Amino acid sequence: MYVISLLRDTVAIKPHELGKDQLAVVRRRLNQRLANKVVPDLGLCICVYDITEIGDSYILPGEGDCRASVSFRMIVFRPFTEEVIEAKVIASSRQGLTLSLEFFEDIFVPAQKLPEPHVFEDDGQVWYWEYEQEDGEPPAKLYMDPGKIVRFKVIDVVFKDLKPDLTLEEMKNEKSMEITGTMAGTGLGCVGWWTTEDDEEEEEEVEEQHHVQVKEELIDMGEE
Amino acid sequence: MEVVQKRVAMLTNCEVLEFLKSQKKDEKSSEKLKMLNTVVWETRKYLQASPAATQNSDMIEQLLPKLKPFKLTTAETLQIINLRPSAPADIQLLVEETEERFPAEEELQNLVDAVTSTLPPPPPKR
Repeated sequence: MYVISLLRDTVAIKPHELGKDQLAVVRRRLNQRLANKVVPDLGLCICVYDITEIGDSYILPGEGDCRASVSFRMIVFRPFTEEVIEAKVIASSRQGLTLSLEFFEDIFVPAQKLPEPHVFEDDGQVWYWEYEQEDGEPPAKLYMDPGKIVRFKVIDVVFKDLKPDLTLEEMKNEKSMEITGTMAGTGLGCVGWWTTEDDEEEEEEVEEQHHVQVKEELIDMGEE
Repeated sequence: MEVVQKRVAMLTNCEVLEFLKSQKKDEKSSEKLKMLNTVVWETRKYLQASPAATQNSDMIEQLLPKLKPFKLTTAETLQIINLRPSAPADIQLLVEETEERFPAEEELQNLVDAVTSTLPPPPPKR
């Protein structure tokens, strides 16, 4: 999901900031400029990881800013193809499902990449997977409605260079970075489909053991 | 701005979460750093609900030598840490050509055991 990228940029430090901690000032500048922004062909910048080098600074004639070329490392959200990620369904339409990772919402699973055979229910505008049962019972309808946690596999990450003069309306439809995913395949789709009850019990047991341990520790502390 | 190297290293979700937690919040200029605060808050929210929330780097260091005999690729190891598979079926999703590489079912189960015994269960689902 996340990678560290090495970037270089020129940072201007205002005269009134010269007395402050330079590293902190540069870091803040870079965060201001890049955090939560998509860099084409790179990914979504989260925040500065560290600053590796601040080059010689220079002052241009006619202004007081002190400029320096800075090399820094950035935490970037950049999923690789074939990566499996858990996300939440936030919108459903005849074209497919839109998924969200809280900090990134431009993930689309087209209808033909949903588990086969899939059916769209006009009433409620939701998709379900028609799961054939073994014991001859009618097929189960496994819904993928908004709010469900699903696993998807990344097929493609597409970057688009957006023109800066877009209206707000156009901005909503245009995406500078979009992930296309698939949910067709064993283990993909709603998380709940693949966990058997055994697993859940096991998890609970571990959980209980943990509680017991904590209690014991508390008792120990009490004795001391 | 110039991209010098696209990918210096890959980070596990757990490392990202630990890093974000360690960052002090810059209160004074919160207006200017709105974008930063938003993305950091949202990323933390996502990661807090994922298996990364209960992990720490010590556990991952313990897990890595245990995974060595299975000869997984870096990407596969990363996925296993991030998603903490708890059943052989989950491994099949994350590891390519599972059947050829792990012909014995026991081996697959050993891999699952190595993961579940080192990494704690994820927080309860949202």
